Amino acid sequence: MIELPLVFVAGILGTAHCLGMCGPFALMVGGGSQSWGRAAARQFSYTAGRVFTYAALGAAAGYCGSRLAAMLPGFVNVPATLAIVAGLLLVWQGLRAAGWIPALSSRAGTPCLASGLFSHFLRQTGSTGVFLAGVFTGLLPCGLLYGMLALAASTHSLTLGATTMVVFGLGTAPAMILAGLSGRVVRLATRRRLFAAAAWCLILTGFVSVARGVSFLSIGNQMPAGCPMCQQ
Amino acid sequence: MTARKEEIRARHQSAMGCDFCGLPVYDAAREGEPRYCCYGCRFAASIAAAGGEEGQNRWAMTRLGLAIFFAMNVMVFTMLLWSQPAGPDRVAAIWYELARHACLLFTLPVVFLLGVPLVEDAAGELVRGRPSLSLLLVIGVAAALAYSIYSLLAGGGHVYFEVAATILVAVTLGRWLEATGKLKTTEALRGLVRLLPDQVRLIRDDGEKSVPAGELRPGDVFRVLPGERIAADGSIVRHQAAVDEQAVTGESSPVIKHPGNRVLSGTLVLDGPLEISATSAAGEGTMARMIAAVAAATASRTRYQRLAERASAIFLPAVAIIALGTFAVHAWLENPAGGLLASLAVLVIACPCALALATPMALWAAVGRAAQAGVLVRHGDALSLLARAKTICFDKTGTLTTGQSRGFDFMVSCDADERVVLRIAAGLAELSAHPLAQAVAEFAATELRDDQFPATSSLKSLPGRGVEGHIDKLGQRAYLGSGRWMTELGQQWPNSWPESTDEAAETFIAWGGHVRGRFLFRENLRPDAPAAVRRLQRTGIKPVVLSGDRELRVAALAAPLGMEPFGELLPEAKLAEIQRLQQLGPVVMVGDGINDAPALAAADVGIALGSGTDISRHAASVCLLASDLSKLPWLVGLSRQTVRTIRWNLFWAFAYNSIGIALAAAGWLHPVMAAIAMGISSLLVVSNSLRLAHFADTQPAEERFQPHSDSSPLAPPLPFASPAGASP
Repeated sequence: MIELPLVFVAGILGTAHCLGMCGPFALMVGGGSQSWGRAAARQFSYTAGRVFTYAALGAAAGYCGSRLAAMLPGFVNVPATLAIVAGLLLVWQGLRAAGWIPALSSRAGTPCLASGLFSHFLRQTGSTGVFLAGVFTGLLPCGLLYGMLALAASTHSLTLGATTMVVFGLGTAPAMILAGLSGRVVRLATRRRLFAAAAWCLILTGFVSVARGVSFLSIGNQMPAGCPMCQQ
Repeated sequence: MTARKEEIRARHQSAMGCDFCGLPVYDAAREGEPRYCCYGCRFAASIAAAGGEEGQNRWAMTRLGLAIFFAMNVMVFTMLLWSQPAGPDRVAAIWYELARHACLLFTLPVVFLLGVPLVEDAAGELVRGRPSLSLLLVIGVAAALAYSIYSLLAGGGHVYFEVAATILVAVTLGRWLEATGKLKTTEALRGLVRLLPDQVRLIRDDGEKSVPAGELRPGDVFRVLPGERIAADGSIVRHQAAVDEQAVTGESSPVIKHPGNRVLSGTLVLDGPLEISATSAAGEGTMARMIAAVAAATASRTRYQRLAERASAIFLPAVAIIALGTFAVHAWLENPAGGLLASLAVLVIACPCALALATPMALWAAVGRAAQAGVLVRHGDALSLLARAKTICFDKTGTLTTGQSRGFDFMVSCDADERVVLRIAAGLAELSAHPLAQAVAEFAATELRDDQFPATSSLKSLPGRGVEGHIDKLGQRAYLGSGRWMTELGQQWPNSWPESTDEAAETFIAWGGHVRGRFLFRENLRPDAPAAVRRLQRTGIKPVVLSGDRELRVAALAAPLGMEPFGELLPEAKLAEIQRLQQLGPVVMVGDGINDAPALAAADVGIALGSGTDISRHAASVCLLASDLSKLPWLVGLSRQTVRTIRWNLFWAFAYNSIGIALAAAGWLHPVMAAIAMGISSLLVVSNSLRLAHFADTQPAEERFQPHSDSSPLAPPLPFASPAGASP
């Protein structure tokens, strides 16, 4: 899994994208507590919840990938196809984050039935509520997450899928925790620059994944070749 | 929420509703105990309950969250089991056993967290003498659990912990989401309750005092400051202000209210304070009656609802029998585990929620949406009938027209000066309140382009005849009134005028023994009438005018609108005409609700206009609170969308249940998939119905006419305001 470091970096930089979506939650997590120690504990349990969900989703994705590969042996090169799909998804996300593809306008007024559940946990004072809020944050719809899940599925292994997602989740952790602890650790201008960097990182991860998929396809049923750029 | 609002809410719900979402519950609950329409509402209510039991609420919520967390763990370990079957390898075998035990370990908390409340619900229903689906689910989950523990301890055999855990989570989550969705459909109505203020500034002899709104009695005078809502119906005693009545009438432009004007509870005072003498107690005004009327509408069972109820009555026993049969057949053909899974899938997929929710959800959402737009639907069937309506009958005066007249022609005898005659007629008319006299004054003011009318003294008004007065400039009395009166007075008629026709109302002006001038009038069409009629025609409904007025006048009004006129109809003839039209299909009657009550009652759907103040008095099943005819095509659109939604919901519920149960009974549906499908099914019904709550205000901009504050019966009388450009 030569991409794992790249996934981690994508996680780190992807947070610039996440801060827009999930930053407010991180702020709410930090909001209720007084001391730094308590605030940090809440942030860590929130992140733990999030990473847990990512891991479970990654495991499920890896399992589904492996089942798919077992069901269609030789017919299609499943990991390769999944890797290409994941890559395209990530590139798409990157292009959107960079602002080169206009975001699809989501239909306004669609009621979110789960919002009550969510804010309820965030407002609780103990760590359990925050942990559960983290668990549910992991389930929020997020394009970046779907791209990563497709990548996890392309590993066609339960454990590798889970690992990919844990690495990604850990990558998102530092910025989220810092943002939650300090209120605003990145200024708007910096955040905009980070957004651009994140977009490029996503596009890069996407291309690597596509390239890996294409190389699988051309090699046939041999062992996964990893990142073609990194091969000696 | 204050005690009073609780009381209003309790009153309108005690009639019919679930304590959480307000949807109808049709069986009698015991006095004093909360009543819920489903397990989801019971669960959601325990989360949302305000005050007092903070710790318990948080626990209910946390319970669901933790259960989801544990269930996710169970799923991961189960996937591990699926992907690594016990191999010959010793290490792999140890891992395999570990994963099996981990499954049990993580399933037990889920059972305690979510299973216990489900058991309590099932037991509660059983105590009330009602077997419930919860009971069947509890039995199924317990069986799956028992079988899995047995095979784990006996070593060998499959474990189905993930089935037990996922079903518990999916059932609870699905029902909770469903309850939340139901709450959203009734939100429009609860929004109305929230509009009533808690406190009123009561004005007594010893000054002003803020008291709880519940203490307000009819006859009390209270003060309302700008930006506040009025707590009770009343009439203004002092000051004047613009009042936003949108919440009650749907009318968006504010209305200026003067002392003596009526104001409605729940409306918003925009500028300047008002002192109001209450005519109703705080909880009994227009707003409270509106809420009661809408609540009654949803409690009334519709055709579709009766259909769903008949289906639900046989649903539960049928599901139990199918589940038992499935277990027996599969256990005999395969093994007990297969039978258990298949019958469990039957129990899970059989979701009466979708069936029971299909109609009330859509109806509540539509009725609530209509209420937001100032349309009160008082019977659920009205919407389904309106959707099928073939003919829409309009009363003329006060419905298609504003009830005010407008002069459109004026002629003088050959020897009279037109301007002098106009001035003298206007001088008389100006001081009379009669609508025709006002129309004369208005006509004269337009023609003369000023309102310097001659001074008039000793004015006398003779009902049914006209007005007379002494015109100082002429030095004699002048008469303004009907032709018959002129003849009675012995005034001479000029020879040059054409014969009177019935087409228009007439008024004459005479003095000095000669009739000098003649005014012809036409009723003012409502400004929104032409567009509304056009749009109704476009929806395929035939518009018809039914009127007691002269045939020619009705025809003159109806022809330009493209409506079929029926004039000179006595009330009985109106009924007969409606009955004749009913042979073609459902008939809608639109009237002002006062003098055409029999016709409104005889039609399939009676729509009363401008009934902002009196929604409970007449026979109409739909009330347009503002006299806004453009609401009619909108309402037809909403009703058709509602019927489409109900049909779709019912179709989906029936199809889902029958296909799902068949698949499950055949053993082709894994219980986990069934649990997910069940949640999705209920959500589909809920969100499909919720779309009605967002039904758009469909008025294309080019068809929108200028606001018509003067045609609202709630607006103060503005004597000279006639809508411009209202001619057909």
